[in-house]
Amino acid sequence: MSVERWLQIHVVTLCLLGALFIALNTGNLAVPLGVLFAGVTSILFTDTWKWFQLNRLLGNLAAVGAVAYALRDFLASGSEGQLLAIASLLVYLQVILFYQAKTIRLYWQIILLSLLQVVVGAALHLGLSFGVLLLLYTMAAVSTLVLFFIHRETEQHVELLQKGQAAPKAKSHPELGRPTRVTSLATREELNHPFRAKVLGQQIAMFTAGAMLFASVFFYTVPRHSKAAWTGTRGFSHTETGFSRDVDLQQMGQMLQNNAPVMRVWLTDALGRPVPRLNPYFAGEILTAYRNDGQHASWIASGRPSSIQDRSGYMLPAMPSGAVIQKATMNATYHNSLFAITPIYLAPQTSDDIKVDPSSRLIFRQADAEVFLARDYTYETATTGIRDGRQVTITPHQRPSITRADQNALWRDINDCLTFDEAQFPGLSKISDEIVATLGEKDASPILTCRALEDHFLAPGAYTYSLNLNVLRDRDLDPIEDFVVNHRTGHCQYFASALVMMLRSQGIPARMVVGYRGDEYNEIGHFYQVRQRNAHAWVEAYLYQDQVPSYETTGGTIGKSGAWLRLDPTPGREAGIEDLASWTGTTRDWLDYVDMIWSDYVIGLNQQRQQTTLYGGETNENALADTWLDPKRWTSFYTFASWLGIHIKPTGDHGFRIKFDWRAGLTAMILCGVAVALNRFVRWYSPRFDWSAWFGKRRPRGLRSRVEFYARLEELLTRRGRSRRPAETAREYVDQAVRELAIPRSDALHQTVESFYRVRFGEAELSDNERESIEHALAELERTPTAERDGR
Amino acid sequence: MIRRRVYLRPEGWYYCFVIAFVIGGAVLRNVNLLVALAGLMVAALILHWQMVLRSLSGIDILRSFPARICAGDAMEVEVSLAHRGNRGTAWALEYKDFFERIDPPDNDPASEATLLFPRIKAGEEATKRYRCEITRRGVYRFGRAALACRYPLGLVEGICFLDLPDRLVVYPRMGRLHHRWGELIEAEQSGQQSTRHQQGLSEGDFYALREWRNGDSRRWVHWRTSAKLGTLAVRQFEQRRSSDATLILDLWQPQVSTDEQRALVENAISFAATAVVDLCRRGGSRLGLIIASREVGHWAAAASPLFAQELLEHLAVCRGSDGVRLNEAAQHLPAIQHSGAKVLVLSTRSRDEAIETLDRRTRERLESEWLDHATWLNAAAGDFASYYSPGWEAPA
Repeated sequence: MSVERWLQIHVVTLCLLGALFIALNTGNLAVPLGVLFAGVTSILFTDTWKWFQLNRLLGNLAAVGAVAYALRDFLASGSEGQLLAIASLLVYLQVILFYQAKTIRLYWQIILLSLLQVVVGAALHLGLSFGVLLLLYTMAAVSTLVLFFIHRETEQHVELLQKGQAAPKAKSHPELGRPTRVTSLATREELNHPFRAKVLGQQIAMFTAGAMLFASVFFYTVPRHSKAAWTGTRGFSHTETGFSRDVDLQQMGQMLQNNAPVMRVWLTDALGRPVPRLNPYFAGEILTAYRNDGQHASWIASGRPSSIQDRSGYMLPAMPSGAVIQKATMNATYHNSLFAITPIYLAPQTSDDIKVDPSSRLIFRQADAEVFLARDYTYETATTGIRDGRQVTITPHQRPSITRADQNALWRDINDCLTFDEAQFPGLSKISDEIVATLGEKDASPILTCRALEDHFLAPGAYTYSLNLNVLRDRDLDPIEDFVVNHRTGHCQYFASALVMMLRSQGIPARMVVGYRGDEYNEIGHFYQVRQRNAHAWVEAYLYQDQVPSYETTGGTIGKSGAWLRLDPTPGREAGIEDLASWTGTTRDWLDYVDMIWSDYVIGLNQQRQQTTLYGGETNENALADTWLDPKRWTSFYTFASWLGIHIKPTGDHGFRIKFDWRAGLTAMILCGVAVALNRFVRWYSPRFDWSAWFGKRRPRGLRSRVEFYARLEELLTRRGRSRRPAETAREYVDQAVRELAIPRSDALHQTVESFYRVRFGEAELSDNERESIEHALAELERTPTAERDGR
Repeated sequence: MIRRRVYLRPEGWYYCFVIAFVIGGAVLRNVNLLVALAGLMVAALILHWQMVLRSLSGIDILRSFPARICAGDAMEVEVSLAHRGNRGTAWALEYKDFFERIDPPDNDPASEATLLFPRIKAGEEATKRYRCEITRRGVYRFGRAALACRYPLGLVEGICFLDLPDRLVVYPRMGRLHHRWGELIEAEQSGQQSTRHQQGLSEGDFYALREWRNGDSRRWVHWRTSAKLGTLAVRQFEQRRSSDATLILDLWQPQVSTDEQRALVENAISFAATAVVDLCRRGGSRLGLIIASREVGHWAAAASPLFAQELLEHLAVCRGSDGVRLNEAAQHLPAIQHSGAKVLVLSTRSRDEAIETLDRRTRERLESEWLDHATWLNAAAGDFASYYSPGWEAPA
């Protein structure tokens, strides 16, 4: 196979990998498949058999059409969508170029477009898969560029060969025609032969390894100015199917388990030692209000603002001694709820943008833009919910200083947690009454009532845990009533809902908590890998201060504001931490661990982590970056950019949010036009411009006379009345001048000219003796009378 | 090696532009992967840079080609690159020769020949050749050679300029002489074709004795032998025809000349060069050459291959001029002209045109001294055609 065919295959591979970068974000494989189809068909029909080739005009028209189409998407999208529109445009242009007759320029354009695809891909996706793909892409890019180089060099030499063999243009005498005909005696095969696949493979592998090594050093040593805990976007199109902020009980069909990772959580004590593994509950949302309008039965959080920007909260309370540090790295999401073991306290590394929801006491991220939620986020808090290697079930209602207003708010919340319509749940009420009735007066404390009701669901054979919701339902009944009275089959949300209602039926304030349960502990990285399938719902029942028995281990001192008792009625959830002994578990641990390393030390490398990792501690803030990246300093620039359709909004931590409008497209087009015109002008003007004048040198009379001592000789002769004529060579000029001016001892001047020729055309360097004799000759010439003195 | 530099090719500039774009994106949007990507791109550029420099180091160059050729003849230039390093391989080295005519000076840019050496392992040597057909006579300087490398990505080019001073003399283009040229050169000098001019015993070399015949000169009688034999015996000579010649090359051309006028000059020079080679090949004669142009040059010696080389070198660099000093050229004639030598004037103009430029006294003197006896061949009038054909096909 010829080098060019290999090159074509590599170019298509490169473009395919570039398109995969886009597919990583959209999850749509149509783009890479389309590129693959276009690439293969273009190699066959356009390059090999030459059945179909777009001419330049058609190609340009198609490119304009592609730009217009992409511009439509660009203008209708947000900032991430705009990047995708650009990526799509790059793909369209590549496909158009595929079907044109391949030239050196065209190959280069395709490669460049592919490179830009990676740039866009890097701005959109930050997963480990990107890293793997980047490695493959680097190898493919290097091999493509090497093949492109070989092809280009070979073609140039073959072209030279053909040019040399061409008959010269007829002239009246050969002396007047082309001065030389040079023919390379090498053939294309001879030139290509040494570039064997094995040798090239070794070269490319070594080159890629070297590039990776250098890039690693570069990556870790380039100073970061951002103090954000993480950077970049990661799968912004990612959709959550496990956790949702609201619970819908009208779902039907088989629910599929989603193994997509949600977050990793490290639990360490104050000394940084990992806490013995357990099955932690990471609470994310508190749902108190149950709505059933006949069509939809759902749990929602009461009093929660509809927009995440409107959500407000207070600072976390300070960490008490003995608290466990919980550090989590959460993947991209569209909500600002954070997950943590309750009760939650301020840890040393807790970011300022983490706030506590006043009613739920759970934490959330106070983000000012949706785009920041579509990125990985690392946060750290502390908890007292772990005692003696176990997560306690009773946690205090968390408010550092309870005021009257706080107390009123708490009563309102508790009141919400008591909302129960007996008419809606007659069967459920009856069953719960029966359960409570079985408790004697001695055991009729709220906490025992709660546990008895919880046990009702956990009794073997009483209820069935299932993700298959295709069970026979009574549409006239409330789904919870139907669950408890009839089918008794469902998933955690049904169990939690039923228990909440049973507790409320007994006058115990209760609410549903949704979040995740950490079942998967990574022994290598000592973290909990939380996936979507670990999403869980459980129940919290409110206990007044005096209702908490003293023998119960609690997650802190129970004050006047009472405590919450965690109840998990879902059967089959006590299986414990998944068995990691099998090789699949170990492999999965390793993969998770690598992903963690990638997230923490590649994606999440920020100023703070860089200082800690590289220099062993934090240094002062980057004063230079703070100064130069201060948004106030750039106000005029932002204003100017907004005129051009580029709206830059500083977002803190030296970050920027950029949006474009139609003017940006127009600006880009104008700038492209200006760049093309400028390029052409420079190429036209450059050979005509004497650059030496820019560097303070005297402009020589001719382009060839750039040797200082010769310039001086010319100047001296000119002052004596004989300037150089345009058609004269240096030698002719001096010969004539010597003769016309009757300069004595002209041999030295002739020698000077010879030296000039050697220096100018032979790139030779003069010896000290030669320089001295030239100086002497010029000095002597200077002493001879000038034209003015002669009166000539 | 006198200078080495590495610079970005246009593709390299595009590449750097993309790097700048990536770094800009990384800074503005705080995307670490863009930093990694920029690192990779910078790494590729630096490694490329290093590979280029490494490929160029430790390379010795040997170039060989003939010292002189005739214009239009193909010359093979052999270039050997030796990698004197202990390890590593030099990849895709591009060797460039730059040569230009320095005498007469050329307005055309220096010619360039390129050779690609795909791979030279450490301690090995590679040899390549290129064919070069130089169409213009003159002295060429092979002063500068360049060794370039763009491997592996073609974004960066490293180039070493090497001082390999060499000189090539390109003789005028050789033509083909017709048989009439032989007749012309062997004929007696103008006005003496019927009566052989002999001086003393220098009619020829002694060959043998024979009996006296009618018409034999009494001076040829060998008296001692005649006395011995009792009959007249005469000395017999081997009479060689003299082909002594003096060529006067009148290279007149107007100050503003057309292609045709310049072609006439080249034609005359080619004819003269061909004639010089022919006369020197014959040997045994004396040859003189006067080149009359802006400057006048004159040379004379016994015809020999060595002398032919000397004359061809002068013919290689002569030029046409509007200030031909025919008078000055004539002054050298007595010094170099052997008695009885033929005088041939190869000119680009007619005899009348030539003498019109002289004043009356000079004209008369020249006519009487040599002009009337010389054979004047005017290229413009097609006088050359009977004696000589140029070594190239004129366009139809």
